[in-house]
Amino acid sequence: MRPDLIASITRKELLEALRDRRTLFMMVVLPILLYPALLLLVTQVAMVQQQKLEAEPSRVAIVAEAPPEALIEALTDENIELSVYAPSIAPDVRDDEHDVVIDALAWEDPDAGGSVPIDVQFESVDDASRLAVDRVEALLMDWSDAEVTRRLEAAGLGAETIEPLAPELVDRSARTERGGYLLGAMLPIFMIITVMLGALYPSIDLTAGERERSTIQTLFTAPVSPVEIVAGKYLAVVGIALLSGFANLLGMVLVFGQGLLLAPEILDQLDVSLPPSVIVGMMACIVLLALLLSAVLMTVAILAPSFKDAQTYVTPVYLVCIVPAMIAQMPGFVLDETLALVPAVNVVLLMKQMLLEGVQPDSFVLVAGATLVQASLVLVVAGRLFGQEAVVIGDRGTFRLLMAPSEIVPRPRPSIGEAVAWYAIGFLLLYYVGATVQQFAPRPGLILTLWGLVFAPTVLVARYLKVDFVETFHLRRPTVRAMVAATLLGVSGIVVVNVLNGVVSDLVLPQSDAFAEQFAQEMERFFPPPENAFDWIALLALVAVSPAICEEALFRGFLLASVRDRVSPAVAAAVTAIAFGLFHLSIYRLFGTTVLGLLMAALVLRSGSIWPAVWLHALNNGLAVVAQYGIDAEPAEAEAMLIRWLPGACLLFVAGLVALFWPDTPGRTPPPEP
Amino acid sequence: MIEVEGVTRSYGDTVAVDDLSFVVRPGEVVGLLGPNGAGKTTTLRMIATLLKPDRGVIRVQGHDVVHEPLAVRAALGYQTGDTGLYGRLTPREFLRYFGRLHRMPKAELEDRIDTLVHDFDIGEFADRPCSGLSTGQKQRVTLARTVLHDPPVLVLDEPTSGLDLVSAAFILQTIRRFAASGRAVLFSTHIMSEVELLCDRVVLIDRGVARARGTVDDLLRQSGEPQLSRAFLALVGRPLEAA
Repeated sequence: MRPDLIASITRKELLEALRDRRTLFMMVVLPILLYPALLLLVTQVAMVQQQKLEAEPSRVAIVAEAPPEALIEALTDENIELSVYAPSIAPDVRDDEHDVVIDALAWEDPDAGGSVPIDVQFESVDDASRLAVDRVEALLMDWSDAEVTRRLEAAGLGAETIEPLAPELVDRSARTERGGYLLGAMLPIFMIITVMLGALYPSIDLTAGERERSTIQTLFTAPVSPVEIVAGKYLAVVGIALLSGFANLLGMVLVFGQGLLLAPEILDQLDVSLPPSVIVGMMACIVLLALLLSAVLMTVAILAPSFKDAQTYVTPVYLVCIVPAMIAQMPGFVLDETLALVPAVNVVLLMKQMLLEGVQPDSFVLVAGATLVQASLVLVVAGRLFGQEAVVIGDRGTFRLLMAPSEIVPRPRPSIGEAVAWYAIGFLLLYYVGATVQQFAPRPGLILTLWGLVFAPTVLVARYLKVDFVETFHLRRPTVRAMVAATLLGVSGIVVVNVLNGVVSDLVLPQSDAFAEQFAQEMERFFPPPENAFDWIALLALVAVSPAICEEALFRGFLLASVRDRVSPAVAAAVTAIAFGLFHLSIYRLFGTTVLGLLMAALVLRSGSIWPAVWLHALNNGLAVVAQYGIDAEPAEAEAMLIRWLPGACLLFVAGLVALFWPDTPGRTPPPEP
Repeated sequence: MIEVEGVTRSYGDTVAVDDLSFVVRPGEVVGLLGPNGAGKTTTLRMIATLLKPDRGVIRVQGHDVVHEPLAVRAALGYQTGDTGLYGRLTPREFLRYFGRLHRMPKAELEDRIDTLVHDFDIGEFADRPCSGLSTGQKQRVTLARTVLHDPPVLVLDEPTSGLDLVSAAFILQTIRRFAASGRAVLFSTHIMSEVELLCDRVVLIDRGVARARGTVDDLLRQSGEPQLSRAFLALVGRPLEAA
């Protein structure tokens, strides 16, 4: 992956797209102007229609043998045009002459004290008739209430006799919340549609369109890999989708911010202006949607031989994305941990949540993580599809070719795309399978997760891809110095990282103390305190040794090997460290695990061997377990202890860093620079 | 230098190229001749890394097409009827884009584009969108793109197809110049006069198999025919009946 090439491709695709008026119209003019205008128009026309209806009196007919005086009196109102008919000339409500026809043939004088049956006929499909029946019903109820009071009085009873309870409903939700609820019911779906429309045209144009215009072979004459081409094109599609989404958001913010849409009496009740934090949050959601939808649409379009076919292919995708999102939009659906993993639906729910409750960092991280994983998975498929002969030569591509082993050439290390794909799959396995089994059976679940979902599949994937195991898993003898550095860092890292983690979490995140406590409880639930030597050994094997081997095979083996020497060592370390941090599925532990990941990556890059990283990992986890169970202290006490140890730990830590990064003496094999 | 060794490629049950071997050396123009469906395009596409051979090895400047496709493409100028232009870019932008994809340094790239615009007489339409260019103009832009990164090896698939005499002559002269400057050129064509004019050697294939190879004179001698067209037909087993 060479970023300059990807940037060149993105730039060229954007330039071409922006020269195309159709794209520009679809992505900027349409969302920024049309949707808000349309909304405005629809609501205002509806409002005008409503006013016009309300200005007209309702035509009500009463059918009776003799004029029922009490009924006529009850219905005498400025909004009602009343006429009375004998049964022989009774009108039909469906004739359009009358909005409501009241059949009062069975009329009796209500003074007699009975219950008087009357039929009120109307047409629910006729707006005027519906309005008329509302008016009639209100008047009749008023009259009925008055009659009840009269009868109660006549019987010497008060009104409270029939009203033992007098509830009054008070809406205590804030104006912004009510506004958010209203927006939450409509804004997300608009966002998803505009981002989709923004991505739709370019994702077809840049893939199937390129084949149709027979420029794809021209492109493949350049020394650029399919993955780089897909990445460049993808970024261009994302860029256009973003433009479209942002333009739409801007339009919406302007319309709602000005309160243009709503009648003043409604605006008193709710506040639909979006606070800046929510606008930023919505923008982030648009980014997520753009990343996901662009990837999906592009992948499908790659399979199509022509523009027209591509349009046919993406239609079901469009529906698959829109329909669940519309369902999620309905009241009653809220973001929970399961729905947070469902593509597109999760972003809709996240937007809903933001509009209602403001930005919740935890939900955001979860949804963003899931979306990024899903998008990168789809993208890797796109990368493999795009390189297929069938796609380049102009026939259509098929998913079957993904499986063709002949397309796999043996080589020393996995490619970046393969690493991203495997990481993404591993992430999903961890989330869906690992977390579930650990719920049911903590200890066996953890063993299964580490060995069955992380270690074994990583090794199998490496085999399938025909990579060299020594190169990929860094199976070389470690240098003494790297082992010394690992030991120093492992012993001190737990204190330093814990303190740093505490500081950073306190600064940035809410409720980090509560989280720490919850984490400790979780640990106790998973691992009851060890009572004898055997317990300790089992515990350390499970918590220290297993993760050290399994996770290192994936992160400092497979992943690091894929980026090593292809990007700068610093970037390689950073990327794998962040991947490692995210893998722990907790924003509160993100910082600590990422720092640890950086150190371990540096160890491998400097020494060329995975063992120092395994050793550091095991030491770190082992000491954490010892600290958890071996030291019986209250949280406050423990914190004080940490602070007391900090200077010494810092000293060891720095010594470890020096040992790690000290330049090699000339004459020895030079390891890669950090 | 192009080395093709025992290359076979099938599409399903159809064998398009069968155990084909030949070499194109620096400074040499080799013509790939054959009737429609002989496997010419498949061969050229395999050299250009667009298709993978089922068996055999192809090397371009020593780089294997399967294992080092990017190195092969960097050393290769490839042109076919299927290598179109981007309609919404101008020739200059188009060349700049491919220069960037070849990672040519900026200043060098601009100089190179200016030279090519001059050499290929593109100046007049260099800043108009490619979609509005004539066939001959498009072909000149394509050829400029083919040699933009100064590749040591050129693979051209019927470079004069659809061109008038003047444009075709210009293209042929250009090919000659490329070879004279030490590049290895492989090109396919149907036009026998082009073969006689340009080719140092010829590889004649039919139904995926090499039927003859050598200079034009060798081919005439092998077939016992006085004319290259007749020799061609005789060698692919469909001799022209005497009138």
